[in-house]
Amino acid sequence: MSIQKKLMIHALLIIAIFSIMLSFIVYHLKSVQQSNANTVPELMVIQEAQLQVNNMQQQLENYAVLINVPQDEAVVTQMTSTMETTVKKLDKTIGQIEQIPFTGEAKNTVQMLVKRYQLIKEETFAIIPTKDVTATKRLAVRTGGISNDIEHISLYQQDDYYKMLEGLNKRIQNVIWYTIIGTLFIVILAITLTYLATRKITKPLATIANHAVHIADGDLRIEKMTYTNNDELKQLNDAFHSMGESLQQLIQRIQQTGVGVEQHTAQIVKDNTHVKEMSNAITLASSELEQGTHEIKSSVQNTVNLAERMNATFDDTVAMATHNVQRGKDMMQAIEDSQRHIEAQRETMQASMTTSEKMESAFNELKQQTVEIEEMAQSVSAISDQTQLLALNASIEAARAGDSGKGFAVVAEEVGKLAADSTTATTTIFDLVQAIQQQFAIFTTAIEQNQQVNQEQHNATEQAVKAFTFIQHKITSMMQDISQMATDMQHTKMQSEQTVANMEEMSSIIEENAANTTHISQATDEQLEALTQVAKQIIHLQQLTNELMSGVNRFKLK
Amino acid sequence: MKKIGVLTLLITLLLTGCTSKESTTAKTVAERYHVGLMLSDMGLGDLSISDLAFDGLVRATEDFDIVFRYLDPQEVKDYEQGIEQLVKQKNDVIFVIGYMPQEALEKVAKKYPKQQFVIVDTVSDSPNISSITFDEEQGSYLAGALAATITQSNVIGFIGGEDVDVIHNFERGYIEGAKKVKPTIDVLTQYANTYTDEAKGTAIAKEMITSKADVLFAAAGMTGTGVLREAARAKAYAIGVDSDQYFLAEKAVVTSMMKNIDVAVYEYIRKDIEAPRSQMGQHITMGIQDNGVGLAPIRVIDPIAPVEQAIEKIKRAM
Repeated sequence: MSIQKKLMIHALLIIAIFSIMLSFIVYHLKSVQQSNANTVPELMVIQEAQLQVNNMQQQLENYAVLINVPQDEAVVTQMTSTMETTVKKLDKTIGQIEQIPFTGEAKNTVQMLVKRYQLIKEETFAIIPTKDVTATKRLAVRTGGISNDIEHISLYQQDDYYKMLEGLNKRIQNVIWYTIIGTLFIVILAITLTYLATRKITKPLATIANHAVHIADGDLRIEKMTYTNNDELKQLNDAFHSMGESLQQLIQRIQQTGVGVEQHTAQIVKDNTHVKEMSNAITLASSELEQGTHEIKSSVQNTVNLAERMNATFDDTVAMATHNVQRGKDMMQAIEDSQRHIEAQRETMQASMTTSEKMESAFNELKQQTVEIEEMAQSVSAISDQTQLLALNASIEAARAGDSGKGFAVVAEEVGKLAADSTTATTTIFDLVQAIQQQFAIFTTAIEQNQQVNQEQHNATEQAVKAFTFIQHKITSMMQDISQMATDMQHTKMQSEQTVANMEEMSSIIEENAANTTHISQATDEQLEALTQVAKQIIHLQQLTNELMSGVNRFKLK
Repeated sequence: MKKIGVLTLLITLLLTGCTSKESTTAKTVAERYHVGLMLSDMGLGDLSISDLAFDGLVRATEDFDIVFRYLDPQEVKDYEQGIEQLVKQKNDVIFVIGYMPQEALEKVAKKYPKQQFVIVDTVSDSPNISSITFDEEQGSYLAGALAATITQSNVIGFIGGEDVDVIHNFERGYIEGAKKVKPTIDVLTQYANTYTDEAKGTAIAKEMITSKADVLFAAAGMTGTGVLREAARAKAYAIGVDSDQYFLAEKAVVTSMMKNIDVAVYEYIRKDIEAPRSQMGQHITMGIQDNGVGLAPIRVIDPIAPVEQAIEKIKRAM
């Protein structure tokens, strides 16, 4: 039921009670009117009697005057009949007065009146025909006497009337009192009902208002008010409560979010610090890398230099080999010349054969060493490959510099190691080349010894021829070998040049890399700057979050 | 707040409305001053003292809040019973008219010593009976003066009832009044020795008229009635007594020496209402100055006015 309906019912109730009270008043006023209606005719009868008695007295007096002088009989008769009419009327009126329920002294007075009236009436009928003036006058006076009696009765009747009026007055007063009390009752009832009704409305409203104040103060720990009536207030209460709930949820959400933001910002700050550290590490690594690159570059340069020197050595060797081949050719010529002297120098040849054998082994050794050089060249090639790979990796790692800078260090180390390997390899090559040179020196010495032996055993031709033939073969073979070696050398040189070219390429890549590293470094600086800005923003965010949280923490939640 | 104010106003109006009872101007019978009247002799309609007393009470009724009851002697067994009946009716004062009920009154007065009684035209010694008498001499003086004024024979007559002091007072006043106007006047005096013998009155009157008396004053009750009627028959003037006796002999009665019992009764009641029981047991004599005695309206003679003026002059001179 809606509040309006309730209030309407209250109003109707009050109106109903008011109507009952009005009916009560009207009923009493009606009965007052009724008793008034009974008493008034009695008073009027008495007044009527009074008038008639006075008339009669007057008529008797007139009659006394009339009969004192000689009169027309008709006039006297008329007068007589008039008096008779008056007496008849009086008979009736007095009879009515007798009917009035008087008590006590008033009753006695009425009895006296009736008695006196009967006497006067009798005397009147007796005296009128005698035309006795004095007697008529006396009768008139006595009629005046009963006038006093009627007056007396009238006073009693008035008494009764006033008593009745007083009673009525009391009754009316009572009615008025009842009305006042009733009105007061109704007013109190109305006030009470209105109060209760209003309280029924205002109390929940006050509670809701109180809750609203609580909410305004930030205390969301409000209990839902129990309100069973299904009216507008219930809707309000429900709406208010769900608002509170929603608010609470919202606040909780905000708090959670705030906490999340705090955590996240903390994490970001942490991450930021980490990133900074990383960036610093990257910067550091970059500079190290730069330095390493420079080192690599210089190493590579050294290697290139070494390779160039080796190339030069190769060239020398080739030239020497060519020279040797020439020499071999010359030697072959000499051998051919010697073959002609073989016969003669067979014996010496024998000796020379030993030397040749030595030489052969020396050459074998040389051959082997050449293989080693070849291997070494391959090794250098491999190194160069690896370096190239490394450079590639380094560039990739450089690209990933953001994630980790450690890779660079490893790469740098690898590159360094490889550079060292390269250096070692190059040194080995250098050593080997030296060994070759030594061998060649030995070889030269052996050759010289051989020449001496050949000189000394020039005679041992047969053997020498054989030897020479052998040597011839050998030299041919050796020449072939040397040629081969020269070709190989050529090949090695080409490879070495290739290596150099690669090295240079690598160097340029490294330089590029170094430039990239600089870029990385710059980017890292920028990133650092950006991170600082981010840190500032985060601090600002934290402040905001703190403010938000402190704002939200105002709310006390269930 | 406003509502409460209106409510209070309403309640106040209602309260004043029912408390301000309209004060009834008319008192109830019980609240009124009660007067009992015991008439004597013929009672009401005697055209004399009873009627005067009645008139006085009627006038008092008109002016004051009083209630009066009267009893005719014919209506009661005897005076004692009548007076006692009036006592029992709780009257503030009970008037008894004339000397006849005096004995009965004194008996009742003794029985009811707290009851206030007034006896009119005679004197009682009872402490609760007030006596009102009239200065007959003063009234008679005026009657004598009038008689002397209107006489042509210079002879006037006085007829007394019993040869008693009261009647002597009448005689003395009458002669003094007459002599005051006409010192040489001859006043005939005779006592009938009865109040009730109208024929004797007639005889005395006839005798006096024969003796050239042309104005007769009778203070002799019913005997006096004979005097008045004889004067009318003999075309002489007559002066009535006690009340206006004009109606007894309209051709003769010039005036009457009035005992204004009505005035006396009225005045006693007025004073008793003003100061209750202040007059109880007293003997009050009503004179000319109290309007207790005087002359009835002058009639019969012609012209009346000069006589009236003369009498008024004499009255003022008293």
